[in-house]
Amino acid sequence: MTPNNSSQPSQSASSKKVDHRGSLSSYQIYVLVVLSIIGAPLLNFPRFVATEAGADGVWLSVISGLLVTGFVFMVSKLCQRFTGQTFVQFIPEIFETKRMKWFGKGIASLIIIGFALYWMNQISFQVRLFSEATNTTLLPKTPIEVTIITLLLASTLASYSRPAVIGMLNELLFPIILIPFALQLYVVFKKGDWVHIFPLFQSDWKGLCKGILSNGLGFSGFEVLFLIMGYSQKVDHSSKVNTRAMLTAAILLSSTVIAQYFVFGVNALSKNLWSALDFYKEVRPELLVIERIEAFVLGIWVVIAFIAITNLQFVLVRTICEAFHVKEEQTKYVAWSLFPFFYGGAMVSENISDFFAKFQEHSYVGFIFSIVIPILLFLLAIIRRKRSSPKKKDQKGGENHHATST
Amino acid sequence: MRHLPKVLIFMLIFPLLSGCWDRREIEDRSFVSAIAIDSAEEEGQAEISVQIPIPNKVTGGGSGGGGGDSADGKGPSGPFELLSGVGKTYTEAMHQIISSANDPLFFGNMQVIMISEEQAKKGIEPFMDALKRTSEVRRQLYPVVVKGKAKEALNIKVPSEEIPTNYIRGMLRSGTKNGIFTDVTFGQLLIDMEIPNCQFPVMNYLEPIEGGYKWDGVAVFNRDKMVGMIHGREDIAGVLQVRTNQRGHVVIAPRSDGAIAFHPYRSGRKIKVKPDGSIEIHIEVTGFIQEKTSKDDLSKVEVIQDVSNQVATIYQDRMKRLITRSQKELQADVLNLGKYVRAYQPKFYNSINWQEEYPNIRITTKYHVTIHRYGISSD
Repeated sequence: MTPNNSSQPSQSASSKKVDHRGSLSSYQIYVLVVLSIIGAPLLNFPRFVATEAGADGVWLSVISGLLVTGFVFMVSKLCQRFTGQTFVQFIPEIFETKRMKWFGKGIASLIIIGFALYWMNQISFQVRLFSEATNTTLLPKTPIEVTIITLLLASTLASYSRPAVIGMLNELLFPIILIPFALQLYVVFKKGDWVHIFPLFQSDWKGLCKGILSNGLGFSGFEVLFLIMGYSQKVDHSSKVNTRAMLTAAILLSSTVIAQYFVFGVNALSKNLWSALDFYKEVRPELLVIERIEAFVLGIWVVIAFIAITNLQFVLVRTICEAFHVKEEQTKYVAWSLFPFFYGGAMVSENISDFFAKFQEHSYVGFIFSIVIPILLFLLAIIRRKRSSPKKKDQKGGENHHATST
Repeated sequence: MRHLPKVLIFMLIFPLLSGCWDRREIEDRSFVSAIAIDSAEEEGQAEISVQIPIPNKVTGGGSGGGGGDSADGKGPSGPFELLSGVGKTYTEAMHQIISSANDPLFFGNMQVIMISEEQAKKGIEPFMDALKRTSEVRRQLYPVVVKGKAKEALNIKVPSEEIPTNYIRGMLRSGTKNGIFTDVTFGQLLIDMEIPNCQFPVMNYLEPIEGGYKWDGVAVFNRDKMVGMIHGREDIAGVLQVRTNQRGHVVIAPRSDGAIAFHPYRSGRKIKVKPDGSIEIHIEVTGFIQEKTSKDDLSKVEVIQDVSNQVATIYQDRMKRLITRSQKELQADVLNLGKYVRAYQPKFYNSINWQEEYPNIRITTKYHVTIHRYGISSD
């Protein structure tokens, strides 16, 4: 389960660049993908789906999950072509020509900046969203700045850890985050009503597309694959692992949406701002020790939000470090220097309506970007027959175990 | 010195982790156990009252506490405080209460919302809106309509409980668990009030009596205004069996030389909606014979069948009466059938205004009663 060789520098790392290839086991990649997707937005996601997709949101969530899973399979295949390389390394290779190497680097820079900005937005929004939820429901008198800073301090501190450490952290927390999803079944069993999910198939084509897209937003976070695939131990199995991870995330997300439709119905759900918490308020557990399970669930949600934000920060920091060839020991400076940007981004909205409007707008743009670009990269890689050179591949190997200092 | 930055970061984090802005000691809170909503004397105003138990006066069954604080009948009748405020909105009235309370109010332990019949007839929406925005308020608490003033209903002296709210909560909890009171919680009420063009919520109706409370049926609402009541145990069976999927009360089947008491313990319903909007309800009730004062020999299959048919006919008649009353007199969909029409025949539902068309909808019901056993007596 844990990597058999963590990326320990063999000697003083003061002036060495540490190679993290082979840092993450297949299982760690799996949990990292799932936990990067299941973040703070799930607190509000079913309400968003109910508002955007109406009654059909309940089955469109499944369709979106399957479509994104297919897409992730394609992304995995793309990454498999460049074994042991992160997207920072392989994008220039896809675009470059023998004569114009600068062209590949130029285009790659734009794409990497696009992803970096998208992740920065996602981090800021997730931090603000989670802080809004806790301040509204639990800590009404605590200034939101304090909640945001606390969460960001914790996630930033973790984000510049080595990939192997992030992998183990995800591995450790994964079973905990499954608890709310298991409790969902209990709530549905006690309070769900089959009739609440009907009538189905009421949307026109435009509505269906909007529904699929809005459901797709729930899967933001899968882009971490572009980076972490470069740290994978077993690249050969990665498409299978990634597809399984996406299917897991799709099951967790869709089951959450469906469960809340079952309990509230589309109309009550669309008017419930923090539906994920009110959902657990619907039952009075008889066998559990805890009287108010929503408080227990919110406690777990702190873990979910923390790990999703940490993962995104980790990917962003590593991307910047790779792009600018930053030494390992300087990673933390990159992480801390981003802190004000995350904080500023989180505080940019004056009120919650403005926040949701911006969140929605930016998420749509970012999501479309993160779908279109990989398709383009995949097609170009096939057309231009781009892949790691056999020599490179031999060096890195199908099993990417060379996590040593270079 | 090498670890100084980390130490500094930890020192920065720790003060923030305590959540000190919202820290409140348990003894520095006033725990609201119930809230009463009455219409005030002045037009357009409401009186809100909160019941706050006084922990050091609650004796837990011993003597010396538990009521009797007011011999003149004006103050609270038990170890609790009743604070009231009047205002055009819930918040305005609550502000008066807050300014007269010694500690901040905490609504997380609130168990019951009591609404006077008079106020229920005027409308409940503004109060529900204020309550649903308060994150402390549980969705599992019970909203009830009470006969007379709700504030006075909170001041009834109940011999078995020091705090009347505990009595009401226990009564409603066991009643709903046994399937004889409608299982309507605050959360369910909010869901019922959100179905477009089909807003017919119901709530349990209580009548304060000497030394306690009497459950008297359900209050029926059209949108947010109470339009009438379904009284008593007999007529309520249909509401319980169809709307909330509960089993309902005991049925007494008169026989030629006595009577047989049928105790239902399970009920299930299937609702079919045809394209023209007509509704068929099939209800299966399973139970046992709890009492027999006739000379019927229950060990014979044909007698059991006969009693089953008779119970089914009784249910059928009650249901017919209930539907007729809901369509003709109350003009309110007490069975919440609009939800099913909307789900199964959306085209039809969207072509009409269910709130107005409900009285014209054709509804047929069919009961099937199964008697499983007849106790430990062999006949």
